[in-house]
Amino acid sequence: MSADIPAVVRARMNAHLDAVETQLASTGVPREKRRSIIDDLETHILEMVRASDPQPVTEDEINAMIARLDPPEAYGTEEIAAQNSPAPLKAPGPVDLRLCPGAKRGVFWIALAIVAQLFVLGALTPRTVVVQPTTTGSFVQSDVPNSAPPPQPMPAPPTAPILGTMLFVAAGAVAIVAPIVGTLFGWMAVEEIKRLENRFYGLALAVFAALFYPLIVIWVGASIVWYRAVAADSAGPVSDRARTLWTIGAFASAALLTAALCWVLRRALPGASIGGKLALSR
Amino acid sequence: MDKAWSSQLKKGLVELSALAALQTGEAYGYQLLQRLSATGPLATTESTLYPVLSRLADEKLVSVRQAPSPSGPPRRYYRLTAGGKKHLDELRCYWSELSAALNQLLNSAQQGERT
Repeated sequence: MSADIPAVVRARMNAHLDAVETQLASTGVPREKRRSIIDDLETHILEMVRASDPQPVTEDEINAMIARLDPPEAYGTEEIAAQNSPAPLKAPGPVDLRLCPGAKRGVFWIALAIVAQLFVLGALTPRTVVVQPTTTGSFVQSDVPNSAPPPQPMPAPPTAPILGTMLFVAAGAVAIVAPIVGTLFGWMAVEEIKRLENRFYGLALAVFAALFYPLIVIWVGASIVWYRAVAADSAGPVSDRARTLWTIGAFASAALLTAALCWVLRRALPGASIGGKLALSR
Repeated sequence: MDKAWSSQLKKGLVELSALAALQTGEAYGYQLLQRLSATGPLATTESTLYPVLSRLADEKLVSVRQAPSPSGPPRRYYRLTAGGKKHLDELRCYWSELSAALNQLLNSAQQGERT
């Protein structure tokens, strides 16, 4: 159809499109945005041309059509208005700026995950079974951590094992679920803050919640791979050299991932120091 | 209604109108203008709507799909994204609060005049 448009009509159309683009450029509208507006406008004019009867459209008719459109000076007013006056209707503006609830939830779940995992790790710490005689001549068996001082025999209340097991299972479940929930909240909060930046702040908190556990997972994975690589040569027990190499590698990768997290946080928080007002800034 | 204040008032509502008009399905710019024209008071012009559509696409509140057109270059079809739907819900709530408050103010002023 565009091939059927007389050259004079096409030229008049192009002149209008050029005038609009010049106007948009003069008001500071970025190139990409200009292009999309011009594309929409070109489709608009071509739809008018197509709907016109009779065909083909004459120069007078295209002039009449363009006269019905907004003049080029009408474009770019949104940009000018944005620079000079309050924005058009938007859901709660800067006055309602508050810490993104998703970021708060994300950090809460990450903290909960850390506590639960420390609890589980503590409960799983290898213990030594010590059997020693009591003053009455019977034997008492007790569990103590490897590093603990010599145990004092003490009868445990009968409900303790059940309660302990329940607590352990609950903490285990939280230790598995909380990192996933925290990470998801973090990502959702990042998306929400970016989308509604005039409404929420707390991007650094959200990024922290979103990345903390993924980075931990990467670190654990890298450490396992590294351990296998350095231990591959030893047929029997792992040598001291391999152990040292692994320790250095694990620390180096932890430092690298911490640096990566700091770098991302700095990007999320331009101009702020990581140690200072990080948590609550945008 | 061709007063300057009415066009100023409408300009502030173009984003809400455009998002609401896209609820019924995707549309290209000219089609969307026609949908808004069909409502009467919410009719707007291309110099107002197309920049707003471009901004909404930038903010990922609408997605853009290009499709061949019988009349020339490809048409740019706009569709509400999940973020756009959420944003529309927020604007809808805000608009309800705003119009309720304004109506209350207008009604109380009217009652005051009667008494």
